[in-house]
Amino acid sequence: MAKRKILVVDDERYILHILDFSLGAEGYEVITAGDGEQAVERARTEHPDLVVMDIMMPKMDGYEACRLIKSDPETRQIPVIILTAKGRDGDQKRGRDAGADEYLTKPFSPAKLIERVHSVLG
Amino acid sequence: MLSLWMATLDSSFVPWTLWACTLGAAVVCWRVWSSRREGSVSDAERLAEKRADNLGKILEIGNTMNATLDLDRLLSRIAQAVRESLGFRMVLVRLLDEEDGAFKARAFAGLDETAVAKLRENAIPLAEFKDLMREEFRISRSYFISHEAQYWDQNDERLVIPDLGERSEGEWHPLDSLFVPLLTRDRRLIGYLSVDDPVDRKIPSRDVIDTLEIFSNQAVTAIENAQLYRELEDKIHELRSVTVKLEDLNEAKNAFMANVSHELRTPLTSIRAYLDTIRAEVGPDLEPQKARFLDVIAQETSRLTGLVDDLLSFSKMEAGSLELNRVSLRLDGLVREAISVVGPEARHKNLTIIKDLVEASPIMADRDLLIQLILNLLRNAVKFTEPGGRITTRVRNQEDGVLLEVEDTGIGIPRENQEKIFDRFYQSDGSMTRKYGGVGLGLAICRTVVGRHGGEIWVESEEGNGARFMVRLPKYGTERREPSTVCGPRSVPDLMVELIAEVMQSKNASIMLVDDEKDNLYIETAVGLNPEIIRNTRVRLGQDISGWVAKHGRPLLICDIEQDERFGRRNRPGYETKSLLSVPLTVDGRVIGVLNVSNRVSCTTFTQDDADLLGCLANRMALVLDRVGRGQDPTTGFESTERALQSIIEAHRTSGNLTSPTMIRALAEVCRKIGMAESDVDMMRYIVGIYDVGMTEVDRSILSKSDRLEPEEIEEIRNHPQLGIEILSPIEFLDEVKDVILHHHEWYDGRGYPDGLSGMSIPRGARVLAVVDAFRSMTTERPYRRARTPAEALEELERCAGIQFDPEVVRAFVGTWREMHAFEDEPEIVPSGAFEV
Repeated sequence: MAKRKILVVDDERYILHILDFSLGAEGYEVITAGDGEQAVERARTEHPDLVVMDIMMPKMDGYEACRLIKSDPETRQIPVIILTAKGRDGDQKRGRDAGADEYLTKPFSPAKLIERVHSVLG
Repeated sequence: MLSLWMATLDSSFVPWTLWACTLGAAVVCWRVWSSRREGSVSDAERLAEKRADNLGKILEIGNTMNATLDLDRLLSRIAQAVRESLGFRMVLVRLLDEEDGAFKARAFAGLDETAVAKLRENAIPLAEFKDLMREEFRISRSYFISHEAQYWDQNDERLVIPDLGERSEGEWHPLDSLFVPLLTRDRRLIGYLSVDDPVDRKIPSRDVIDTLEIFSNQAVTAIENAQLYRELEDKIHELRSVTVKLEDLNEAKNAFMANVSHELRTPLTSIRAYLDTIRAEVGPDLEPQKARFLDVIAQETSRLTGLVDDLLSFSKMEAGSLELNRVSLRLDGLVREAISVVGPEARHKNLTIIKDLVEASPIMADRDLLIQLILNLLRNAVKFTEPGGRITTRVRNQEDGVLLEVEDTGIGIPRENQEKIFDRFYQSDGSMTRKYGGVGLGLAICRTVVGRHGGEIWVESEEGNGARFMVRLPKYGTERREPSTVCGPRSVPDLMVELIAEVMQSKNASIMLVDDEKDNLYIETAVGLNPEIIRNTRVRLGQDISGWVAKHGRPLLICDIEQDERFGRRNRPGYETKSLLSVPLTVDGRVIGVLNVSNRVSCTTFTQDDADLLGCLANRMALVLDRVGRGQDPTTGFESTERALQSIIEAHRTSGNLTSPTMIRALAEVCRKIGMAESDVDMMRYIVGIYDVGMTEVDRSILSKSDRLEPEEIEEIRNHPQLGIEILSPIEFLDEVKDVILHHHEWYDGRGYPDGLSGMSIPRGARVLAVVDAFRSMTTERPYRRARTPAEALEELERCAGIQFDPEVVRAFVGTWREMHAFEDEPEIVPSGAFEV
């Protein structure tokens, strides 16, 4: 089976790096995007199997990016895991409204994320 | 120095003033004295009369002065009064401008525009004026400078000299001047009052001067009051702007704290992620010492994360933007979870954590916040307990909630600090921050979290002997939840506000509660308001309409918000109709909140009757809210309170039971006529809106049946008063109210139900309600009969007086109805199910 491809979106390079490392170690192919716009673009062109999306990002935030991915027939079937800041302020609800499939609150341990990724990708 | 003037009747003014002074002045003074003496002895009686008249004027001025604080208006009134009552055709008041050190003309009487302009233009320097106050010119407290003194330089263009025509010896001369310095009680010179052109052409007598001085005293008082008032206003203004600035600053601080903590969190997230990865990847292979180092990094990272979380939650709580996300949870589970988090830290310090936990009753609470609360308490205990100590956690169920205890064997808290430790940024003493770390927010957050859940937190401790923190959380809080427009189970307040909107026939209604901690009001629940407004509205006590009502504990009826100056004619919420009503929710004299209604369905203005009715409702609601809020509803459950409210709403909506304003007015009038106390009248007003709730429980098919009723059906209907009070019991605590409702179908002759009471043994309120209910029922169309006209109904009441009804009540009712409808031609007929408006 071909390597599953995961698009990780975050504006923090260390987060991108550690996720690249951890998910890569689990046998996934990891591609990254530094903001919402880039995320939507890469989702269209790269057809990842899953998107892991941060919320607070420059240019376009995670909700909007998620909404766009979920409204484009090309990309709408791609599951999205959202990384929210500590389950407050209706973040989860906004994430759900934007069409996210799962959410994980920050700070998180990579092991937890990997667990979620496994469960979403089956 | 001084500028005087004189005017002739033809108003031609000649500039004039006196400057220099001569030696003759003393002689002149003496002459004024003697001329007064001769004049006053002759007709003492006329004088006395005049004096009385003048005193009257002075009194009048005094009253005016109390009524107005606008200084210029006041001074003109004084000048005018001096002119009218003392007979000087011209009067001038000058006040000392402290900054310029000169007297400026402020009020005039009897002067034309040219003269006024000239006087206004020329201020009199203080030094020049002081030169006038020579002993040789002084009479009593006034100064008279005769033309003979040749004080004034006639060519001084600043002066206004009136043309008084020909004058003979001894008469008032155009160059004569008379003035009274205005001195405060502490002898400060603040101005002067000068007069010219006496009507009687005489040099003023001592009497006139005395009266003039009384006027001047009044003027001083007025000026001082007005100045004080203005200073006060300036102060208020200043304070207001400072408050606004402080609020802005506080807001900026909160935003800053939120930003900073957010920024701090980002690198922490990375650190955590790397750390976890290292520990997972290579941890097992590491030598023990390095593994311990990693543990310390992990532990400190999580501590730092905790602190940042504290800051963030605290700034949100401060900004009032923290929302509770209530779920059903059990406290013992949460405690276990929290202990697993602090476990490593505790083991590290060789502390024992004891779990003395029962299976807790579920409560509705915010899970994240409660975890934070318990963690804060546990971390404190860990922090302040020396190695080898013991921490005990306890969870106990109580009748009205759940009790949590966290007890340690640590350093304890001195008694005098036991309150203060819950203040933000407080630690028992400065050295603690260094020794124990932390930013002093933990307990402040605990208090806020507990407060938001309607609970209590306190500490029992002795210095050096450990501390025991106790938290009591109620089973049900009255905290804000999602507005009632959202589907799902509705709370007691939601139902109440719906009921109020229904009864008051308003599109908008809201319940605001006092947040004791913040000294402001928030919207507990509302109908007709957008959720954004409900969430974000905060009203300071004393501010705006609701704030005013909450602060003063008095109802407020506003006919037109845009015309009401008290509230700055603001129509901020954009009320469709400009009339609104706001009444306090009071429990034992303590205001717990405010009830507001606005936007009448009928687009009419609220009346005093509406205000009274809402007041009655508010009294009940306050008691219920208070009980529900404190989770003290021992006799009945929460659900039954909801059911009661639901039933009343139902009754109002379906059975046409809505009581019209006319009926309520009539009822109140009848009660007064038969001698009820006003408080009982209020009670009756309230009862008439709810007494028939029992009917909602009666099978609808029986009520709409047009055939004869079966005996068991009759039995069911007869049971409705009993049903009614059962339904109402959770929200109605007064036996009087229950008695009235229970017995309103008793007959005067004893043949009624449920207890067959007769005559005066039927509660008085029930006798009134029986008549009102019968009248309402007769004039309402039923499936089995048409509605009777009011005239027919009144006739029927009179026919049944002494049999079914108390004759006195019937008389009062018939009288009242006729008085109220004396000028109406059209009878009032109400179709079944329709709202009377």
